[in-house]
Amino acid sequence: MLKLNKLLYSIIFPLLILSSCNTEEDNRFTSEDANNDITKISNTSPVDQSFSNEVKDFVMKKDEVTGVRGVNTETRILLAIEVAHLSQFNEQDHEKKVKKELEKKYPNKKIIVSSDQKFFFELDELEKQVQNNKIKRDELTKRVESLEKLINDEA
Amino acid sequence: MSNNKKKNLTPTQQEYQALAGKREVKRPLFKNCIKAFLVGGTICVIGQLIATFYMYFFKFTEQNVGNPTVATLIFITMILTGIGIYDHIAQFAGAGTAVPVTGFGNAVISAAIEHRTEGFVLGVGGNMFKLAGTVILFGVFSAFIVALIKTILIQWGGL
Repeated sequence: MLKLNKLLYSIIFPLLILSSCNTEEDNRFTSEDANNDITKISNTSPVDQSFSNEVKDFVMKKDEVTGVRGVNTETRILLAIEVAHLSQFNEQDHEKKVKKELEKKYPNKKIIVSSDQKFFFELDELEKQVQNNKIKRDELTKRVESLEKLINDEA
Repeated sequence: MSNNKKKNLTPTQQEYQALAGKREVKRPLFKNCIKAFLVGGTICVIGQLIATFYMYFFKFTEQNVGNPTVATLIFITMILTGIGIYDHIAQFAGAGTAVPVTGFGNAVISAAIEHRTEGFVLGVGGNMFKLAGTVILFGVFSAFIVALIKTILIQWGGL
């Protein structure tokens, strides 16, 4: 049993340590409610984020959405949604529905919506960087483009 | 034993069957189910941790994070089987360790260890997939059937 303990520790501890060392200071407006997990970025950032804040508010009003992260550039907005646990079976349907509604509401912007957890992590990190003015305008555009590529990557 | 076969037995044999049935140790079915559930669930939690780890630190999305996760889980099981720890867990948990993908890794390595004395080519090479081969064969076959049905439904069913 001792051997087993040692082995388990050698697997779990590095995971814990690795997951705790990647941090960026969080100055965003964050909600404490786990079912309404929304963040907002102040308007001092290099690219005005009031549009993404507005869209996040709109998406958050839906019952099945429990969390939302998003960043916008001049031409497009990238949105990651977290769907309520039991609705996750038809996660993709919710994703499409939200996208359709947003496209109707904001016809002159390119809207990309994903319910993938990966983009929730990525956009969370990107939001923090935007809030702290750690990222320049063209860097942000590049990051958004590379994330868009990752969403469309089938393999 | 089926009832049909029992009818053909001689009276002495039937008597013996009844005695054996009485003396047989009852399997603790419910307890086994609980054990399998707990250990199988723990394996799944570890799998989810690994998947989240890959998503957080590497460029994997929810769509394709399954591939490296499965590979890692199988690799861990193979090492655990090789050093003899997985046997103890399997003894305790039964189906809880055989049904998740870790059972596959265990089946490959345990067969390889068993036939090691027969040489590397004909022993290990020839027998490594003795148990796991069925998993691969029927896995690929059922995937083919499902893909076929999906293609037909999408092409002609208008789904």
